Amino acid sequence: MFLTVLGLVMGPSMGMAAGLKRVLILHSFGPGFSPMGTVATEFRTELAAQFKGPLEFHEVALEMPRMATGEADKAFVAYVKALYLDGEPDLVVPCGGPAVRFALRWRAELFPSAPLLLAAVESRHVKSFTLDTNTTAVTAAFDFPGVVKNIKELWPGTTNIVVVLGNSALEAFWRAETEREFEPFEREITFTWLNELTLGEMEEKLAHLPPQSVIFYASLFIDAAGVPYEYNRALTAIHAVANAPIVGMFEEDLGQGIVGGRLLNLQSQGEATAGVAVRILNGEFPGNIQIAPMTPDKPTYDWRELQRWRVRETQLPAESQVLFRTQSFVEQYRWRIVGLLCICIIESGLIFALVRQLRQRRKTERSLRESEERMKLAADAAELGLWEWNLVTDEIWTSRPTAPRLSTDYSHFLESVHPDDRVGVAHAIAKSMNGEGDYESMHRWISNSGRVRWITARGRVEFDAGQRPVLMRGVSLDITSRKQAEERAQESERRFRLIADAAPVLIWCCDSMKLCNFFNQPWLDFTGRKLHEEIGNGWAEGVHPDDQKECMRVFGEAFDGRRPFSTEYRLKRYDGQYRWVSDHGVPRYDAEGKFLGYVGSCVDVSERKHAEAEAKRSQEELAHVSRVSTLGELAGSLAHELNQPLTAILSNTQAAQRFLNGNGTDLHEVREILADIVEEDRRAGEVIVRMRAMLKKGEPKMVPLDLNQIVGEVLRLLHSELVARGVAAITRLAPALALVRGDRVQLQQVMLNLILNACDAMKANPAEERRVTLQTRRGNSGYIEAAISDRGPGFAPDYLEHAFEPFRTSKSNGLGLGLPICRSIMEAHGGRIWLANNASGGASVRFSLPAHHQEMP
Amino acid sequence: MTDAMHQVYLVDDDAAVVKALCRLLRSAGYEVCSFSCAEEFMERYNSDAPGCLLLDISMPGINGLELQQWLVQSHSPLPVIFLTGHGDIPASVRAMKNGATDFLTKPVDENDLLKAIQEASQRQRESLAARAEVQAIQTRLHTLTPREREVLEQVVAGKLNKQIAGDLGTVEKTIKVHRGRVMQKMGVESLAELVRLAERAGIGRASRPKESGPAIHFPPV
Repeated sequence: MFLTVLGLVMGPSMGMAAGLKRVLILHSFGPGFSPMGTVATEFRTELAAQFKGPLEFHEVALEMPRMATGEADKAFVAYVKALYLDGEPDLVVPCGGPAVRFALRWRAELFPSAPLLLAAVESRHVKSFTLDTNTTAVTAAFDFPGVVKNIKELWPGTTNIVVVLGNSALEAFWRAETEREFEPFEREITFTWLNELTLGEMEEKLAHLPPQSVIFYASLFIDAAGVPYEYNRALTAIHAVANAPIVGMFEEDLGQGIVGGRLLNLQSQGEATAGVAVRILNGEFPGNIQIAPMTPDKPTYDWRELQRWRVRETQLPAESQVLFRTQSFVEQYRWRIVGLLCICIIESGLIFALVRQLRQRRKTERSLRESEERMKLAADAAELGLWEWNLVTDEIWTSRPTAPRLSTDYSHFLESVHPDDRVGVAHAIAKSMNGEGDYESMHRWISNSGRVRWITARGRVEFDAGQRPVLMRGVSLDITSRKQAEERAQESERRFRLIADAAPVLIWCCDSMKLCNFFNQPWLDFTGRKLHEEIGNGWAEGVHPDDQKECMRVFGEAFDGRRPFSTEYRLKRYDGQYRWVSDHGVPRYDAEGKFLGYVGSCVDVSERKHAEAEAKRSQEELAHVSRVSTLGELAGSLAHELNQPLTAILSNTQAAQRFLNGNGTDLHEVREILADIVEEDRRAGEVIVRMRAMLKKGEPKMVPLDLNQIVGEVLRLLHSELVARGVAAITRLAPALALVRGDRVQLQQVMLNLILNACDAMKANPAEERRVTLQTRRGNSGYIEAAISDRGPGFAPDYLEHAFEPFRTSKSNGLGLGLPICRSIMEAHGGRIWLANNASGGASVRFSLPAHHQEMP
Repeated sequence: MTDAMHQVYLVDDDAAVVKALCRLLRSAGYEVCSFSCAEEFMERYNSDAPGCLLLDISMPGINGLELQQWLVQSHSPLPVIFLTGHGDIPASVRAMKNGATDFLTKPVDENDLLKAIQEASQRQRESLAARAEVQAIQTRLHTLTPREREVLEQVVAGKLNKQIAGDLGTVEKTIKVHRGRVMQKMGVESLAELVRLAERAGIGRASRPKESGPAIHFPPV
C-alpha cells in the first residue's frame, strides 16, 4: 500500500461550490505519527475555528517510510494528480520533512499555481530548496547542542548518551545531523545510535544501560524491522523498561516519560500554521508572509521524572517550569504539620507556665484566666484536651466543654472508659497518686453516641506539704485514627500471613538491609527449621555451599539495583537432601514509594532439573556417537593423513641409513634429516590428537573460541578427504572476529558435518564446480555468523521445511541425524542454524552464535 | 646402482613426502625431478627425456589417474609407478589397465621402491629398443615406391605372385621384380623375415585397428 487517503469527502463536482475553500494536508507518514501528526491535527482544528467561511479538508498520507524509490514517487504523483484533475486545491499544506520534499520536488507538475504552506518541518529540510513566491513555511528549529546542555545541567556526570532513532529515510537524515552536531561533545560523552535495532532489541539494551547514561528520545517512526510506531507507542514502551532518564524535544512527550528540558510546543506551531493559512485563504500573498522558525519554549520538566532520577529542582535552569507535581503526605500537609508541631511546642510551654502559675501565683487570677483561655484555644486547635482533677473535691475540669460527654467527677470518668480498660486506667491513676511517677495511659473511651475512641493521656499529681495528693493535671489526645491505621496494618499483615502460609510455594521477605524478616510456613516445613533460625541471614546456611556465592551475587546485584531477579540454587530440605529451587524476588515499596525490601517465592524444580540434565546427557551421547560415526566415514582419508608423515619418516630414515653407510658421510645432511623426522613425527602426533579429541566423550567445556580458528582446524582434519573428493575449500573469514563461547569439539563437529554434507551435495558436479565456501562474519545484534555454501543442486523445497527433524535425509546413505544434532548443539550454545538455497545456485547452511563479551568491570 | 644416470620424476602434493623421497632416491643414485602438482608436471615435462614417473593419486586439481590418462593420450613412453596413501581397488585396477608398472602404498619400503624403479627402467629400455627397431623399419618402408608397398602388403597377406599380379592388373614377372626390390630395400633374406618386420611395423594383421588389447608402450607411427 503506497498511500492512504483520509477524509476525502467530496466528489469532484461538489468541490466547485462557490466560496468553498479546499485545503489539502499532505502527511509524511500517517496522522498518528508524532510530532508532525500533532501539528497537523492542531492546525486543522485551529483553521476550522479561525477561518470564517466554508472549508473542506482533504488529507493524504504518503506512507513515506515504505517509499524507497523514485518509481514509487511517480505513483504518488499520478495519484495526487488524478485527485485534482478538476482544479488545484486552494491551499496545500505538506506536513513534515518527507511531505515537504515531495511537494517541492513535484510542485510544477502537481500544484503549479496553488499556494503552498510548508508545515511541521524542521528548517534544515527547507534550506536546500529555493522557495517560490507562492510558498511560505512555518518551520521549527531543533537545538541538539541544547539537548546535550540540558542533560549536562541535570546530570553533570553523564558519560553516555543513547540516541533512540528509527530507521526510516527521514530518521537516517536525523542520524547524520545529530552525529554532526554532537561531535563537539564526543570528548567527554560517548554517543550511541540505536537506529539499526528493532524496538525489542532497543528495550533490551535500554533496560541494561551502564550508570551515567541518559537516553535521548529523538523519534521512532519505523524500527529496523520495519515496524511502524504511532502515537508515541515506542516512547511508552521504552519508558517502561529504561534504567536511565529519557530526554526529548517535544512538549507533548512531557508526561509520557521524558524528564523535560527546552521543548518545542507543537500546539502553538499548529496554531501559528493555522494563522498563516487564514491569511493566505483571505487572499494574502504567501511570499509576503515570513514567520521566524519556532524555537523551544522555556524549560519544562516532569516532576515525577525529576524525583525518579534524583534531580533537585535547584539544579534546573532559571525560569524552569515543573509540571505533574504530586505530593507526598508530608509535603501535602507540611504547613499543617509544622503548625501543629509549633502549637504542641507552644502548648507544652504554656502548660509549664500554667502549672507554675497555678502553684505560685494564684493571686494573679486575671492573668491566669487569660493564659488559660489562650491555652484552651491552642489545645482546641491541636485537638488536645486539657484536664484538671481536684482530688479534694473530686471535681474534674476539662478544656473541651464541647466534648460530647463531660466527666464531672472520677466515677463519671471511669464510667466513660471502656469496661475492659477501666482496671488499667484506675491502676495507673492509683500508682501516680502513690507517688510512683507520672500518670500515663492509653485506653478506649466511649462517646455519648456509643462510639469507641482511643485516647492517650498523661498527667501529674501534685501533693501538699503532707504528701497528700491534692490535684492532678494533664492532657489527653484522641488517637483513634492512628490506632485504626495500626489495626488495619495488623489486619493486612495477618491476611498476608494467612495467604502466604496457605500458598504452595516457599515465600520470604527481607527488609531494606537485605536481612530476611519473614518466611512462610511452607518454607519452614521445607527446611525443617524454626523462624528464628532463618531470620536475618540464617536461611543462607541451607543453601548448598557450591551455590552460595552465585546465589548471594545475584541477590546482591539485583538488590542494589532494585531490580527483580530469578535464580536457581540447591536448598537443604528437612531430610538433609538438597533440592533445586527456583527463586524469584521483586522489590517492594510502600504507598509513598519508599523501598521496603524484597519479597520472593521459591518453587522446588529438582524434577525439572534432573530431566534437563538427562536430556543434556543424552544429547551429548548422541553427539558423540555421531562424531564417532563421522570419523568412521573419514577413516580412509585419516589413514592417508597419517600415512603422509609416516612415509616421510620412513623414507628419511632409510635415506639417512644410506648416507651413513656410504663414504664421506655428510653429517649436516643427516642432522637435517633427523630434524625433518622429528617434525613429521609431530605432524603425525597432531593428526592423532585431533582424532582423539573428536572421539573423546566428555562434558562439553564452554570456553571463549575463535570461529575462524575452528574453521582452520576442521579444514586440516578434512584436508585429505577434500583432496580425495576433489572439492576445493574457499574461506572468506572476517578478520578480528569477536570470540564466541562454546565447546571446541562440538563446534568442530557442526562445521565438519556441514562441510561433508556440502561435499556430498556436489558429488555429481564436474571437477571445477566442486567448491565449498566457508564464511564467517559479524551478524546482527552481537551474533557471530558462519555460512557453509556449496554449488550442488540445492535443497528440495519440501526438505527445507523438515530438514532438522530426525531421520529426514536427502542422501541415499544418510541416517538423517546430522542436522538435528547440529541444531541441538547450536541450541545448547544459545545459537541457531538455518538453511537456504542460494540465488546463484547451490545451498547454504548458516549458523549464528552470540558473541562472547568480556565481563564488564 | 645400475641406473645411475636414470631420471626419476616425482609428483606429490605433500612437500615433506617429496623431500624425503628425493633424499632417498638421490642417496640411491637417481636424478630426481619433483613437482608439487600434476599441472606443474604437465607444463614442464619433456616427453623425450628418459626415466620413470613416481606418482601420487590423491592430489588437488588434476589427480594421479588423470595425469596417467594424459600421458597415455599423448603417447608418452614414460613408465608410471603409483605411490598412494590409501589405494582402493578401483583406483589400482584403473591404474594397471592404463599400463602402470607398479602400484605401491605409502609408507613404502626402500627395497620395494627401488625395485619398482629398476623394473620400470628395464621396461622402458625394452620399449625404447622396440621403438627404435620400429623406427628403423619405418625408415626402410619409406624408401619403397607406392607400387612396392602394395606388393609388400599383398605378400605379407600371404598371397601368391600370380594372385597379386591379377589383383594389381599386371604380369607375374613384374611382381617378382617388385618383390625382389622390396626384399632388398627392407634388407631381408627370407619371406619369414619380411613378414616379421611388416608385423612389427603394423602392416598386415597388425594394421587392423584394435578395440582393446595390452597396454601400448609405443605408438604405431
